[in-house]
Amino acid sequence: MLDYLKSPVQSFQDFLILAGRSMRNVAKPPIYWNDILMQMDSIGVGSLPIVALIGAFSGIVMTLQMSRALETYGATSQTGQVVSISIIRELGPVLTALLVAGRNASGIASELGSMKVTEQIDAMRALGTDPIQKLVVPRLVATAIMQPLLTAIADFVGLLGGLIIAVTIIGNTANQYWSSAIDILALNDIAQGMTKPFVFAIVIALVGCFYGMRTTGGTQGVGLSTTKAVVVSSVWVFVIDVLITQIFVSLT
Amino acid sequence: MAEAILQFEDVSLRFEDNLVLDRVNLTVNRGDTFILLGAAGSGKTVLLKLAMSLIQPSSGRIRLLGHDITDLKESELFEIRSEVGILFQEGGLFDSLTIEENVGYPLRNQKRLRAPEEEILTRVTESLEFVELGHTLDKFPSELSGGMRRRVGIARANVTNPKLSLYDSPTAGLDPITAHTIMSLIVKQRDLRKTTTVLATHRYQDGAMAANYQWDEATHDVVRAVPHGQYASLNTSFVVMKEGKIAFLGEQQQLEASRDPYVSQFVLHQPPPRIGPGGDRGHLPA
Repeated sequence: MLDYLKSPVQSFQDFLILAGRSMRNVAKPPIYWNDILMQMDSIGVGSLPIVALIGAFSGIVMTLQMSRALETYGATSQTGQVVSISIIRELGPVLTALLVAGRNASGIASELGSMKVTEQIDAMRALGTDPIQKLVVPRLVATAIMQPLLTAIADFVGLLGGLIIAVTIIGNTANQYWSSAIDILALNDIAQGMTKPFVFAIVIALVGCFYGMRTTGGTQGVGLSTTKAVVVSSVWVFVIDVLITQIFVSLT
Repeated sequence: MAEAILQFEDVSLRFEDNLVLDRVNLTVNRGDTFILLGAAGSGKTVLLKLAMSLIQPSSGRIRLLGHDITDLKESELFEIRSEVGILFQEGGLFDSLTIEENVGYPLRNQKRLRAPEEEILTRVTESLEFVELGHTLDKFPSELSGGMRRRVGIARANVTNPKLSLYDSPTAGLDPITAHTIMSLIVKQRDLRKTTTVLATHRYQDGAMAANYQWDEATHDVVRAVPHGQYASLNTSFVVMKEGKIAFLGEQQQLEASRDPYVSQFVLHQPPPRIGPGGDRGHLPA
């Protein structure tokens, strides 16, 4: 039993070491601004279309589903409230995180994994660069900046999607939908909706970097690392979502 | 007394349950050439990576250029590493950077070596011309052949004028002509810049060339230091690795006289003849 646990415990310990070193290096020179900007472009701007698309669809589907339930109570005018709360607190942050995990944790793991198996990471260390500073920190900082922004965009587009359905199918007026959607939001909801993507971003970037940097075994190893990075970061998104939600629920 | 550039003292390395290196003792002095021979997985690459502290040993001490590097932190290692050049087995060239950026990388990133941009460009060009690739500055590694990438790797390893050059299987997978060119460049670097050299390879010819040839500026090529049939004394030692242990350590003549079935295969490419009388066979560590 102990032997069975040894490997995951060792991996988790290695992950914490990487996380600790990365956090410590965030403000330490040299700061590779160009790499940070490049990663922000790749992670943020690159993910924008798909995040907006999924945001819109989640808003549309939520509105359609909620309107049916609310119709039973004759409360379709409250559609905006329900959609807004669901998107801002849960759907926006989680769906965006899953997309970023699928798109960027995999990208990070495969890029760093390829560098690892072709000895580029060893070469970097041999030639005077700390790979954590050069490779991990820019990806961590870029994801931590871009993911809350992406989530905010996904939330907004989701509310717009809801607006279209609320006006064209349910029969709400735009003003009715929009004011009920905005008025219901409290500071707690916004804080929750922005805290989640920030924490998710840190986990997604670190998990991607962690599996990338411990890749072994050639191209097959790169594939394996990529898969692990996506699966593990997605699972962590849900686990952390539960924890943060519980914290905010207990605060209200 | 000769100055020790690299010392392994009872170094062992274990990856989980596998003993990759088993109590290795080795001293490389200034001006020496060490040829590490051994089958795949015998521990040649890890030995080179340990020498730069790219991996840490499980036990034992490693001294590089007078510093005990065994327990040093990564940030403390950069300055020591800046005096060592390394050519990786897989090349280790950064595929997203041009050849000029690859070769200039240590000059732009190692604190001790930082120089004005014009000087970096001059040194990069010189280093690439040394390996006869002065025309490839703006190309990317993917645009070059395997042999050219190795030569760029040699240029990058030596652009800093290192005290010690480590080459990991520089001729692996290359045709004989390109392999000869690569070995000529390694000999040229060693002789013109007086670099201490450690070369891991599975080809005995590479070791024999390093042991008996030297760079001749007049002909701009390598020439034999002594006539055929004789052994030159160019401070060259041979180490044969077997399953993480040193199976042989000695000079070329002793290596060729060895009757050890494993060791002699690297020289003869076939099992050894029956043991005959006499002959110094190098020493076999216990």
